[in-house]
Amino acid sequence: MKRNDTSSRYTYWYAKLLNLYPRPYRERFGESMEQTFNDLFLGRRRTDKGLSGFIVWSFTETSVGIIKERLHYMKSSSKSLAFPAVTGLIAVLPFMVMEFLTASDQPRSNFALPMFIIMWLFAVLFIYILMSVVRSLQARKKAKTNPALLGLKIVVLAAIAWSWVGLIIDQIPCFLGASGC
Amino acid sequence: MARTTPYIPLTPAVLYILMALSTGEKHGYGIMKQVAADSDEKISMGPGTLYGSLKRMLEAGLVAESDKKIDPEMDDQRRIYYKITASGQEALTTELERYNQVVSLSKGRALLFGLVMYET
Repeated sequence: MKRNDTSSRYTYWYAKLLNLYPRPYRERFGESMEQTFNDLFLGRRRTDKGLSGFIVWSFTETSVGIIKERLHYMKSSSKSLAFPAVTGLIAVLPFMVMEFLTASDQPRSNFALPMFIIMWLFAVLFIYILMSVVRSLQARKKAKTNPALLGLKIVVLAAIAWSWVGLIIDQIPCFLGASGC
Repeated sequence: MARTTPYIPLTPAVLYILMALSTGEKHGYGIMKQVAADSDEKISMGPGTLYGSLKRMLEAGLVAESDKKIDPEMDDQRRIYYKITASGQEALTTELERYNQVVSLSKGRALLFGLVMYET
């Protein structure tokens, strides 16, 4: 059965909507979804029911599906920085609170803010690389990991941890309210 | 045979998709038509819901992709067909047994509370 102009127009825009799905999902199911939508459209046309409600419902229903898949993809995506960013902030927060609570009468210089930003960035980077290392170790069972790259990541992790701990040790007196900071 | 698959509460969409595929492999539109028929048009499933559910069912091993072929009752386009797996069949059976148990329990209690249950 050949598609007429009306069917082609709606299928065209439906295909455009499908582009909003995450790429892996779109590559796997996009063609099938487009076919199914067209089948539904042609089936609907054969009945005496209107098309407007069907079009609105289809596009709305698929849009909801897109949002769900995007949220699911963000949670599971290895490239997502949301989790490292939030976790890094939680790691730095206690020291910021200590600094705030123990501030002396003579306010500290503006040095503190850049320091906390650096601490946060170190923490974000550490967690992001750690997540990557964990996934590499899990993938090792399927022989998908690069040993040299994995080793380099572990070295970088150690360097970041060393720097972070060194910075905290150096600044502990200031966090505890020592004068002269 | 002892059941080894843990009990999985199935969502209505997954349940009806498995019911549709229990009669044979189908493509997406075929699944939708079967679901509508099985539910007396009460379940209306769009492509977004259908393929979102199929994605999760594929990941869970409840269904599998079959050959891409032409539906002789439709046009000449090749469509991906889906089929129920052994795990899917077991999950469906477990769920239907649970429903059966609940219906039996409710029938018994209906006698106690004076409710009227109609046989269909």
